[in-house]
Amino acid sequence: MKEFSTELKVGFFALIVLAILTFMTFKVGGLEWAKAKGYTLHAYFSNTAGLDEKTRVRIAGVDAGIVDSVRLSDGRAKVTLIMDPEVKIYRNATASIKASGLLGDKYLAISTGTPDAGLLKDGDTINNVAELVDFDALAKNLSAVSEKFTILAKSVNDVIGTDEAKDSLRQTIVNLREITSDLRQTISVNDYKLRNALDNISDLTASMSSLIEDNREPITSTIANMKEFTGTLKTNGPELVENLNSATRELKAMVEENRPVVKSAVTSMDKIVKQIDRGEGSLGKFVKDDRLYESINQAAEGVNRTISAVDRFRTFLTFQAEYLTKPEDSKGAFYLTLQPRPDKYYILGVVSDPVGSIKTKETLTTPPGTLVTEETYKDRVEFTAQFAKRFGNAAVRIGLTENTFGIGGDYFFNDDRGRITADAWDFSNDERHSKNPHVKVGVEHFIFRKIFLSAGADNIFNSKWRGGYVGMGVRFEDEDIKYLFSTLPRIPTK
Amino acid sequence: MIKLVDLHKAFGANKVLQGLDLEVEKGESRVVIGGSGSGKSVILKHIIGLMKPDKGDVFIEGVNITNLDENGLYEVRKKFGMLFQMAALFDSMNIWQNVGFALIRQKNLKLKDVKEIAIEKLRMVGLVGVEDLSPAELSGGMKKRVGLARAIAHEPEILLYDEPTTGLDPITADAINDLIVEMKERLSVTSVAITHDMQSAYKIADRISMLYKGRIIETGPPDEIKNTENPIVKQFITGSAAGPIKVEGVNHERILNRA
Amino acid sequence: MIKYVELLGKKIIVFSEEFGRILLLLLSTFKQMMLPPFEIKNTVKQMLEIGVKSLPVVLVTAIFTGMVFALQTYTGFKRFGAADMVGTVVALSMTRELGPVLTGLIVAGRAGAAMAAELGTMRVTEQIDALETLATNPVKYLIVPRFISGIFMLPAVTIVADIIGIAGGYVVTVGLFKTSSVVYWKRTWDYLEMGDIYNGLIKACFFGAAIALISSYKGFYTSGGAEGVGKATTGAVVLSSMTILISDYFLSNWLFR
Repeated sequence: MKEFSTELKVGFFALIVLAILTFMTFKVGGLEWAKAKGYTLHAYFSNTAGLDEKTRVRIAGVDAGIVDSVRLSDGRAKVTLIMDPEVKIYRNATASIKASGLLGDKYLAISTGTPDAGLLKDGDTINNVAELVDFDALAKNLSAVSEKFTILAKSVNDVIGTDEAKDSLRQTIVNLREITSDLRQTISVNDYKLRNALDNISDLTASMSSLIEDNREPITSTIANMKEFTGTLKTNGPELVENLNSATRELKAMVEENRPVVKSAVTSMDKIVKQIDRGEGSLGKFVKDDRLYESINQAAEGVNRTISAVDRFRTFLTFQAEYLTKPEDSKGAFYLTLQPRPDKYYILGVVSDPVGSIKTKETLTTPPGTLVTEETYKDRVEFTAQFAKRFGNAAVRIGLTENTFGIGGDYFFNDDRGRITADAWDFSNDERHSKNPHVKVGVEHFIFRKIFLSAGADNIFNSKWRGGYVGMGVRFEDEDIKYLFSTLPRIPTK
Repeated sequence: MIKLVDLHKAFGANKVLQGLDLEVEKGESRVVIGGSGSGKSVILKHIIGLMKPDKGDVFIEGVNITNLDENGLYEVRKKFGMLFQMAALFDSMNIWQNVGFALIRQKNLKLKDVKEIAIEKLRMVGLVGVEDLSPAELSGGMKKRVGLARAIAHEPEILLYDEPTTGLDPITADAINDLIVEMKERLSVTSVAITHDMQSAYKIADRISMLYKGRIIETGPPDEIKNTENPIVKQFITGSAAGPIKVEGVNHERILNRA
Repeated sequence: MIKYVELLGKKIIVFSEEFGRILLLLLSTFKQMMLPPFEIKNTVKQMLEIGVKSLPVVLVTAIFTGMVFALQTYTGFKRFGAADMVGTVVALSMTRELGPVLTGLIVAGRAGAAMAAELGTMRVTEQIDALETLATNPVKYLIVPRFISGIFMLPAVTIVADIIGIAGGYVVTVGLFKTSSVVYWKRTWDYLEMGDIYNGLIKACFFGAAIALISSYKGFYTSGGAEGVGKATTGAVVLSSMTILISDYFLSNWLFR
């Protein structure tokens, strides 16, 4: 039996290592490939309580998708989900954040809703969100409220404390009692109608409450106004009570005078409420008509789509410099990357190449008659324009590389912080030392957020210019250029 | 051919060379003699550029190698072959790969051709059938021969010998001396040897130089050196502990009295 | 008193000198690495020495580390009802920390020592001088192949150690504690990210470079005969191991933050 050679052993080992690496990449990165097949939904939360990307989405405790990203959007968390394609979710679905187990292993729970509400499509938003109760914020609000109450109670006390106020108050109560008894009389007469009116009002309140649900912010500001009002009340308290007193007196007189008018007012109110409930009149239509809601919703979606197209469009600027060991000179480059979609981008660049043009001069020396070949090279500015398509962690590039047709490939690792890159161009090369294309292979890795180092081998198949290179560069995202592009007239794609 | 001018070298406080001058003619066989630790090896290492002098110049065929960069130095070294004291064969290779090392690396020869050349060089130093052994399987004398074969494999113009007979029995030592003389005659190379073995020095030298306290104190053909009047040289070549050269840790008074 | 201050000063000077020489050697290694010809045959040979031959001992270490890790975490996690997470803990600690560091320490002890001893012997028997006289740059011929092999082989051995360690955890959690094998694998693969593996491997690259550079340095600058070779070997293992453990902290801080 023959001893295995060194090369064979190392080769076997390399194969084993590659196999393990591929296996682990598949196992670990498997989720990322699955996501391409699902559809996207969004949900906005004011508190995600540390929900991480890649956590699971569960329906009735069964895995049905994953959280793709959690981003800030106007102070709220925009959670993007990728749902399994066979899972159907309806418009009245509810999303909530749940924790399984003591260690706080979070997941996103969805109740699918009912089919009659209509299906949610790719890119839609789940509107019903059950917020996590933030005990901290709740406690803070309560303490603020109780503080306000204390102040109010104190002002009331101040107002009521004086003898004059006591007298006025007593008088007020007397007056009120009289009004009440008058009202009781009126009401008892109109008992049936009133009860009917109250029923209708309660229906209206139910409709309003859903309206309010969608209008939290105005309500918040209303509450703020009320707070302000409380403050005013404090300063103007005594005067106000006095006014109230006189108003009550006048009201009393008015009620005395207008008993029949009140009666008819109650009747007509009853009528209006009934109309609203039946959907008559514009207010009634507003409350009752579903189409209005639909159209508002659609309009909002339309705006949403336009914004996300611009949002997705990303542009990057890259400046980089490399030191080539072979010409012992440095090469500078500037690239603009336009990325309309995460898996597709265009690279435009300007490169200053120290060996841009190589000229070969052959001279026949006269006395010995030998051929002397002399080679000179000059630096030159060259242009790159490539189209790139990305598949998972790999990308292929094709187009113009440094003034000639070229192709290239990249493999990204470590969350895109590192990149192994290979390029081939100048296929019709006619340099003296090589007929082969210019091939460059290297690796880049970000050491800081925007600064990367690079190293590799350049012009591998050319015996004269073959050498290594080291370099560094800066790459950052530019927000302005992308808006410049989004204002350009759109070419319709369909 | 080889010219050392006013060479100074110190290791820490130990000044080994103090203004050494040495000139070796083309085709000459020069032997430098001197006591242990007197800096003989240091001279060789300066000639081949393994050490840079603190002061002074080393000229090889008129080129001052002290100013050369690494690549220039390697070019100059291709003219040299060197036999080390313990042969310094590469343990990781077998004998023919050792001998053919420079050929494999410097010239674009096929491995088969290199092996043939190696076998031929081994035959020149009197070794047959050892090419596939490993250095550990050879005796000290055989290792020296392989070392010599390796030194001459790339046909150098200058051969340097670092104590070629040290550590060998007198018969093997003499065989090595014969070999060195034979090399000189057959290959007509310039050679510099350092030794403290006077038998060897007389046999292989055209001229002998005596190194003492960092300088060459006397140079001459073997016969002249044998009959020298210089007391230092006289003490050294006769191998007496009594004399102007002091040996540390020896009671000189007693030696003188006994003499 | 003065004596101790003097001793301190001496130590600092020796340390600075050594550090400077290591840096110079690194620069020279980088330079020689870029220039052709490339020592492919020597590199493959060193890959065998550093990588393949270190494999058995690394594998034994990794499988037992994975097993003992699973044993300890299972006992602890069971007390607060998180026994499911053993797979995750084993996988994360193997890929991020234990895989690279244990591999580094073992390779430092095995291949680093061998490297220092081999180069040290070559130095004291003048084989390195002989290389120079045969117009061969010893840094290029001896150190560059070791350096490249270190950079490539350490991550390669580490990835094998990672998977074997995870398998060791499986043997204990599923075989000994009779938990569900599906849960173990699910917890392992669900919570592991490519970043954990890649960053562990980047660490291993650094360790490989450090072991090769330090051990080569110690061997290359050996003096003082057989005793010197012994000292160089010890020094190489100690300094490599210390460098691995100290730089591990800084690399983790940089990579995993």
